[in-house]
Amino acid sequence: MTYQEKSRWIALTANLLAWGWYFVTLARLPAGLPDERGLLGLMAPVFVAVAIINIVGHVVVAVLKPSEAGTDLDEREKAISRHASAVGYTVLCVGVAIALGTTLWYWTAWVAVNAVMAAFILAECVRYGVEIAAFRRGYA
Amino acid sequence: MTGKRLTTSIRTLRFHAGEMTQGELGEKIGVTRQTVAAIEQGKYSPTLETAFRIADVFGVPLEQVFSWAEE
Repeated sequence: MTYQEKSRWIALTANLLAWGWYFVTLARLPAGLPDERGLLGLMAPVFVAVAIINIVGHVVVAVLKPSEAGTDLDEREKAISRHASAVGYTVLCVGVAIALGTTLWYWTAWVAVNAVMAAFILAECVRYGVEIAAFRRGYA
Repeated sequence: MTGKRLTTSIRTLRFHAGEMTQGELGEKIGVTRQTVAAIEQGKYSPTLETAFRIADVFGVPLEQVFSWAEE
């Protein structure tokens, strides 16, 4: 497994764990969406968790195999990355369109923020997933 | 170029170069071992620059490394 693939696994895991917790917690709130301060209180630890998991994960990978740490993408990995970004961008566009459509019926600023955030996280996870699958397969 | 696929003799060339590993070749041409493996398996076609680098490592012309084969 290349350094780049390990890096994508770390990023995917961080996003799934942290944002998964966020959206599950949000959905389980009995009184619906909390106010702005409540939502920021929920979001702040998610950003911190994503950063910590990424930093710790990359440090562990670097310690276990220092020769690979921080290596740039080679030409095949760049091609895979471009392909995954195109797929992720499509998911993002569709997700944002659905999110904006949803807010026409359930409009509040925080519903819009969360719907767009969900689209963004989904697009990122799809991008990482497509990259990992392509790394495993050999090419995009 | 339908009906044809690109084949490579990198595996053979590595064998004749003292069993050079995929990782060693990758280091010489600036790609990962996995990319060399993908090229050898025909899953990935390298850029022209990398193709010439591979030929240069083995000291052979490009057409000895890559060739067309009927599908």
